[in-house]
Amino acid sequence: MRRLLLCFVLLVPGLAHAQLPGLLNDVLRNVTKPAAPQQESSSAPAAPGPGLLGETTLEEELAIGRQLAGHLLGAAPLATDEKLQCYVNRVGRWVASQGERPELPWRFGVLESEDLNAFALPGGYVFVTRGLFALMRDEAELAGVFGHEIAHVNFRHHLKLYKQGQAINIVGSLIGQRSDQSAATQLLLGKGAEALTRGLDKDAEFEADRAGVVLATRAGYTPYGLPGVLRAIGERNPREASLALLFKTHPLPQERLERLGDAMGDSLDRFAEGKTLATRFKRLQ
Amino acid sequence: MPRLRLLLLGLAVAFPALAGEAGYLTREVELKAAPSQSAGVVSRLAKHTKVEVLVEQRAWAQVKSGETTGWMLSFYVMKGEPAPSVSWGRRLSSAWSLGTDRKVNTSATIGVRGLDEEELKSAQFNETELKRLEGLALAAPEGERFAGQGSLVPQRLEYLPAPAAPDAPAFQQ
Repeated sequence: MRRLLLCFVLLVPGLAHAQLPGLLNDVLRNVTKPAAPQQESSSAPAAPGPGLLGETTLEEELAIGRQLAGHLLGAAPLATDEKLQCYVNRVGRWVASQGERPELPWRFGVLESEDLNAFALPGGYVFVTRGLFALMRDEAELAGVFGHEIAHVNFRHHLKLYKQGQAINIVGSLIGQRSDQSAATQLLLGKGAEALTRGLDKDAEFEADRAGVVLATRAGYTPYGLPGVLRAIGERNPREASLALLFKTHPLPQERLERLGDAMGDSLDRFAEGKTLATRFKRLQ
Repeated sequence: MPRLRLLLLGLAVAFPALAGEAGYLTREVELKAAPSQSAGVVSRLAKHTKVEVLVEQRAWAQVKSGETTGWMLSFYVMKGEPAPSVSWGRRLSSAWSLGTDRKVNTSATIGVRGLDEEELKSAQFNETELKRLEGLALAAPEGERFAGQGSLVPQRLEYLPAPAAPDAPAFQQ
């Protein structure tokens, strides 16, 4: 029966919140109370569990983002070029100001990794790998990629995913008789930066593509920065190890370009002369 | 000699050797008489039309379809064949280089830590790097100042609605 219940929740995550009986809700509230410090990793701040039945507060969102960012930086540190890091923060800050959540403490970083990928974390942490940065030709392309990631944060795509997973995982923890807070936190976010290995659904990626183009265009750049980067990724051999995680967590660039092209039509043609700022673009050393 | 090399490099960018490169359109496009939005329309090509890419200049590509030649935004021509999205395992692979001016970094990655699933799962919290990142955060006015230095002018536009679902026949095997 327990296995059957878990299967049901896994298959219908969207129904989980509404369908859980009242008694189980009471248990879940206890499990998701603010965390005690984690025992196994004293340097890591404990992320409070977001209220399962309500909206995640900004404080909770920032704590989740910080926890994941710290672990991501444990997998790949920031590139050492300080001027490069300052540069991407200027570009990113300006693009973020064009969206719905300009008040967030936005931070942008280039990760020392040859993988091709970019990450957004709740609370306004945005990363691009050195490998993806090396593919870019100008500032408009960087702005387009940041626009895509900023859109994930603004639309709270990851928080929605984690909240779905929370219902699933907490039911799983109850089945396993593990209802202490540290276990619940780990079940919510996974080990280390495991949460980043889970993709969003494809519609969230397509939505972020459309919004990313618009944010970069609002910022005064040409709309064609993000399409240009997607095309460059599409030209790479998809079997490259550096693309494995990106392709696991995102639709193929060909499909993204088709969907993006359909959405853009000719509606952005009037912004085609937006800036590319290729001369100001800070290239990798 | 360096000047000669620069000159040759410039020629390579302006006139990349592209003859015979085949691709397909990722959307319906209007072929223009010149690489400009304001140029006249010479033809309209349907999504997934196969084309030959003759020249590529940044955002614009000159393509040929049958007897028709014209210019289009280069982002909507991809190498190879349309990806069958029902079959995620059948991914395009080819070494086509369309003569873009991208510098592709294919250097070895010895000593560079990766970001595969196992490495992410086993990652330890790095407080030092996180503090470094948080120290880089800028206030909004600093972004505005930077935008002004680049003559970036804010534009007003709404988000794009989701397009209708892709046509089923185009994705059937």
